[in-house]
Amino acid sequence: MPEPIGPRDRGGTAERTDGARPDVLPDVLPDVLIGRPDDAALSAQLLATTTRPFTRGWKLGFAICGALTLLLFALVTLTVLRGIGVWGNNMPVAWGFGIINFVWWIGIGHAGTFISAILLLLEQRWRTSINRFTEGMTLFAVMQAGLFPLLHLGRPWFAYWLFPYPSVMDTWPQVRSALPWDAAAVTTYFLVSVMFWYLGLIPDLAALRDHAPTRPRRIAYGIFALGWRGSVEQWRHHKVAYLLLAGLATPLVVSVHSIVSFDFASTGLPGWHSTIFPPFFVAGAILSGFAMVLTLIIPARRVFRLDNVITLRHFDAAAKLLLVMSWIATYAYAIELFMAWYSDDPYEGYQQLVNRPGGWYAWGYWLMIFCNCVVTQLLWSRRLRRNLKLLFVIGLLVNLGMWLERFEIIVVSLSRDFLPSAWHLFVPTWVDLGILTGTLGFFGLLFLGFLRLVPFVPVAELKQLRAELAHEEAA
Amino acid sequence: MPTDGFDLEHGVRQEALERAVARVGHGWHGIAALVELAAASAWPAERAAHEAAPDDPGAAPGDPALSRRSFLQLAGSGAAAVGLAACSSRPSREILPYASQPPELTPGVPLHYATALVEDGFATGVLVASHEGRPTKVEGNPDHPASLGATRAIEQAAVLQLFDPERARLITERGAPAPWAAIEAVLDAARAARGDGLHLVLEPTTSPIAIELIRRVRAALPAAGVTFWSPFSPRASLAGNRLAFGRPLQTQLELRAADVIVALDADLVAEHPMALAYARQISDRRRVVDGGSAMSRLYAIEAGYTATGVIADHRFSVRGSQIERVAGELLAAVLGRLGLAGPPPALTARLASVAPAAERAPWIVAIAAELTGAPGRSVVVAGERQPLVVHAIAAAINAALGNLGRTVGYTEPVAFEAGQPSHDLAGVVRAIDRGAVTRLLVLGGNPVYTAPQGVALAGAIGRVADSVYLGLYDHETARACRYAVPGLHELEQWGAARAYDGTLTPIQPLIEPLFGGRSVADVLHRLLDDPPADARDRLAAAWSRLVPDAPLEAALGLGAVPGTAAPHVAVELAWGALAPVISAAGARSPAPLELAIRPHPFVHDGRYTNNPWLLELPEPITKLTWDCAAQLSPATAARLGVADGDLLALTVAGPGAAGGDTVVAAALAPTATIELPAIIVPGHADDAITVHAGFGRDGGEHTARGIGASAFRLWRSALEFHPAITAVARGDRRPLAITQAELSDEDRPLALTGTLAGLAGPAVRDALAHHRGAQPSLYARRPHAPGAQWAMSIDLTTCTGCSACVMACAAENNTPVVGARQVRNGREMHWLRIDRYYRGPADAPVLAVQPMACQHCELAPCEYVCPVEATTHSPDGLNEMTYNRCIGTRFCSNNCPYKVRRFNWFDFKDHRGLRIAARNPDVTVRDRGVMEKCTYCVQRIRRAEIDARVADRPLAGSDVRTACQQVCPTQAIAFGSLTEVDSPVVEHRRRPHSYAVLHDQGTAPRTQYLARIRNPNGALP
Repeated sequence: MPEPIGPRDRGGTAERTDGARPDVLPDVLPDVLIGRPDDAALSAQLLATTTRPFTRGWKLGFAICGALTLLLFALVTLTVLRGIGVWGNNMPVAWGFGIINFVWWIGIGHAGTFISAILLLLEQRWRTSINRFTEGMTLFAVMQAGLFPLLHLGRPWFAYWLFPYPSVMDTWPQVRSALPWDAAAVTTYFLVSVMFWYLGLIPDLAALRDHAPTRPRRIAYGIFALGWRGSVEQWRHHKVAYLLLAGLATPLVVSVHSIVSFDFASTGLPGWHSTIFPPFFVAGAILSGFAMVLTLIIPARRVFRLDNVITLRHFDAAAKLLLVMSWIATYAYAIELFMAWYSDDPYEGYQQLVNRPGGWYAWGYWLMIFCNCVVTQLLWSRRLRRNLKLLFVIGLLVNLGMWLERFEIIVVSLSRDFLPSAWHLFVPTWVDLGILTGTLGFFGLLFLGFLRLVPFVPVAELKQLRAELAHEEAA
Repeated sequence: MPTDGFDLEHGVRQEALERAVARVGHGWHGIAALVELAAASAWPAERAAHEAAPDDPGAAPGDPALSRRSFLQLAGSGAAAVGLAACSSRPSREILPYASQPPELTPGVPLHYATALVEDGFATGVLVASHEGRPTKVEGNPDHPASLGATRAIEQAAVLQLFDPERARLITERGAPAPWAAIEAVLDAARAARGDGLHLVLEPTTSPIAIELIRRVRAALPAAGVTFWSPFSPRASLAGNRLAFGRPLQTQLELRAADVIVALDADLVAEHPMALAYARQISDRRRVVDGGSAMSRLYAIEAGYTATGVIADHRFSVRGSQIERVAGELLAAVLGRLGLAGPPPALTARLASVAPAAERAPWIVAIAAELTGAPGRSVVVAGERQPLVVHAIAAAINAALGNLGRTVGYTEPVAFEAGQPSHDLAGVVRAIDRGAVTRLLVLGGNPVYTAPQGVALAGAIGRVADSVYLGLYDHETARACRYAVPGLHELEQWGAARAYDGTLTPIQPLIEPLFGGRSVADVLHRLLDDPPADARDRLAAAWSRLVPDAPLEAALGLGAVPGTAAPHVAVELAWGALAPVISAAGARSPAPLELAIRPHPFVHDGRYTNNPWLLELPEPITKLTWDCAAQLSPATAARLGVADGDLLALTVAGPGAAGGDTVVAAALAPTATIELPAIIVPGHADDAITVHAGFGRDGGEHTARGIGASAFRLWRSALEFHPAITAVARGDRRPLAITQAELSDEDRPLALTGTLAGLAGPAVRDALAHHRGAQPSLYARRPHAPGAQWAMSIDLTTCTGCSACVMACAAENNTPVVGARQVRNGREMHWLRIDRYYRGPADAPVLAVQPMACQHCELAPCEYVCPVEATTHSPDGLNEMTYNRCIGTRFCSNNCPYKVRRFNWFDFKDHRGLRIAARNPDVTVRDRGVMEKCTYCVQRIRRAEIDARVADRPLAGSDVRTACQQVCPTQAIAFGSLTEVDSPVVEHRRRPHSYAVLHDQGTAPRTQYLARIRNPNGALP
């Protein structure tokens, strides 16, 4: 078994590998690839993630996630058998955890494509080490998200009516509604993300095939490598296709969550009826996506000892983006309050100025403000941007904050709309909580499998980056 | 076309069919089974036709189409097969196709039969829709004086009680099946003893036929005792009138003639036996066309909020026990202004010294001024729960004002022996205690449960050798008696009754007795050893004897015998007898805390508590369902340290202060305690707790059992409804199933209110005009399609919040019952709800009620967000739901600003059991996972369209009446087509106070409201 090559030092020693203390040399960014390992070393280090032994920790991780996945499937079965009355939804809060979780997971999915496609087009080198990781996260998050629009239907077996197919009943989706667009956008996003992810994976699958220690593995990876030989011709086609898909995926980053926001913005409900929603949702999605990236990559980097390829440079960049997106979200929150006051609309005013900050669910509002707007201000400090423990905690808090943001938008707005006679609280049931936990487990299960089955740091691209860096340095 | 929803439930239906067939086959009293069989009958034929087709020798091989002939053959054989299966243990009997229909019957078109529903002896005339012999819907009878075409919620729910699977089905002796012969033996022995040791307990009756029968029993069995009992039947008014006029008389009101009405703890529009008529009379004087309309003025003086208090121009909160003091002050003030010579000098002197308590002096003076300003055009009414002195004072004020014969009249009591000793339940216990009773026949009612605390009836019955109960349920009284015999529902029997005004009303059955029960008349005839006879023949014979001038057939056709109202009698006020009583009025010092026992608006005294429709109907003021609570004012709640849902232990103080029957008071248990959750009612009188009766049942009625606690356990004696109590917070709580938790409207323009004087001025009119009319839009409004354009208008001035419309909607549209747990989670399924909002100070709020259902917006927010076009607009202006297309995203509900859509979170509909027989076959039963809401009773619209087309005449808007409109006692709801310029709904829209709720949202709702206009006395703040 090939020994992983790379720095073995732990924790705080990572700073020292930068060559200097960051607060002493303020203008120098950490390197994106430390030590400039050669191709063989990179292959050995990064392909080895698929062949490490299944230690007790891994088994425990798979067991927990597997159990939660089974819980999810059981609760999905229960929901479909008995009806969504097993959830806490009611009148007027007809959308509850289902749509909150949907929007939350979709938002988490945004960082992947943002890093893969937009940063690729913007030629940001620091994306290279983490793009596949975030793409995987995107796929699995969108898979969780996709469960909910199906499940939350009263009659989920008719979900296909949302798609424009030539029905013998001569009926089509009603396109003034946001939901058929939503279904189309999410489906498109998922498919493009899968293609983009897989296309980038092909050279590394070939490398895995070539380095496979056993014959079954070689055959398996060989099938998925689609006959990749690494010829110049193949590389040329690969590059073009990858860039084209990046170009296709880029508008999707903006469109998916914009369309998701139409589910709310196109209604008249106080708290939903707002033109700021599309950019607000996209920024929020990227915020939560980067938070989830931090949540996942910090432990993965530690476990796989990837300090040389995923460096403080990456975390610094991600933290800066987090800060920017947090400010966009903060701006949106402020604008919502301002518009509620400025419009003089009694219903909107009540919703934004009374109900959210002072109503039944005020604790959720203030916790959301704390997580999404206050905590993130720590990231102004360069030193704190490179403090991984802090980043991990901030990532978790922002994830919580973004879930609460959707709770505020969906549950809190619905619970008190126009007619006080219809107002009613929403209280989640154990099934609601179980399904949310179950999707976390299912996501974790898929992610653990991803970490162990394919190289989650793109080896070929990293080698290319090393070559480019060497070329520049030589120049 | 809508179906009964059976299509998707073949399996279930098959099972039901087999069960029904098996029961018929076993030769039980199987009408219930036959009903189930009838409900399922169309299906086996169809299914047989489809399944048998390939094997059918008559069909040509390879012929895929089923010919008409073979279909009919198969359908016939299918029906015959059912018949054969049904007769497996009996001689086979021919079963015939429905070839020779009765001429009046078209399958699928319901027939309406006039009959009456009786409560406390008084009849309310109704028309019952029958679908192929299955009664499905009760409507009011416009020709009946106690209905005038309307009903209460209770009558609407009668069909569900008829089809209640928990009704008693077998004759039992101590719970074990017993033969009818055992009952006959008791009856025969009683007759042989010439009634010695026999005592009958009946419900109060007004039926001349029953009265004749009772007189025959008395004649044939002279030693038998007879007692009439119903806890809330009129007693105090009769006793008060006896005091005032020397004999028990029944008060009759003519409220159309009244400019000023003062209700002293009297819920005229909801609780009174004549409530439907009185509600109509009051509202007819309060229909506001514009600021210049004449409008009566209504004062309500009461402890808890009632429907009368809701519509009153002024409502004053006064504890029940203090009403008599208020009445005395009012009498003094009125007499002081009139300066009459009638009263004896002693009384005059006494009254001259009466000064109103400082806090109510302004309004007592103002009311007295109003009354004396309208002599002969005013009326003071006392409530039945008030002591007799209040009734006497009301009579005195009315006499002094010259109202007698104008707004108030008196008749002999309509109920048999009302106001006489035979109506005292304590008499039964006394007789048993004397050992004078060996055979007790309790025919109807539930006296063991409804008896006052002082009447220990349950224990007394246990000491009687042979006790027989006849009634609908295996409840407390049935269980206390040795024998229990299934009784008949009113929709199962022949008979007669009188309305509160005396109008004779025939009663005819809509269906054969479902469980083979017996009527009270059956038992009495058997007691008299009359030869067996058909109930209808018996009724016809008695009718022709007792009412020779009005043929029974004609009476049945009309549902009433016109001109049989009891004649008013001339009365002379007996000041002499009144004076000492009035002088003593209000001398009692009030207890620190008192109870007010009231009949529940829907379950009354508990006789309807097993009806899930009525249990789930939100109580009009508290919006409480499936429970019973202790209503109290915010100040009293603060004093006791409780909030909504906190359990209170209510204990009656020991005997002493009660003004009732001393014999009974002596027999009182030292204390009795019940536990109930508190519910805060702004505007409730302080230091008083109102509890509705009818809960805390512990008989064999599974639906009713275990809900709440019984107010009767705190009831001291039959004339004292306001006992002193103590209340202690228990420290724990019970979540309440309330459909509207919010009290305030948050100052939003929802249920708009104004005053008549304000409406006359431009400011209010202009303000109201902001809430109607076209909204500016960038888009051209699409023109309406030709034909009718349906619209509704609801008059909030006359709406009392009685909730009959909610029940009618549920009965008409098959909305499911969901149970307390789902209601607590905001999942009630009523398409129509009554919103209520409190405005103003918490101790004297003004309450606004507003029926709220789908507004059928022209620019409906629900429609554009539905992804599958399940909710769309019809050319005639309806916002329609296509259930089969709905996938249940609930987006429509989120975007509905009125939140009137209802979602089937579970499979809420009943799948099996008898209750499904009460469904309206013209309305689809909705499946799990689909949205539903008010349709403007689209099935009635389409039926009217078909009828118009068949009759080759244009459809008129007045051809359609929605269920809510039809049932409304005050005719607050108008429905029709906007294209008819002279229709009521268009005329309503022209009024200055017509408006649309949430007009600023641009939804252009087709349902508009007439703002609630009050007519306050300018002399009062």
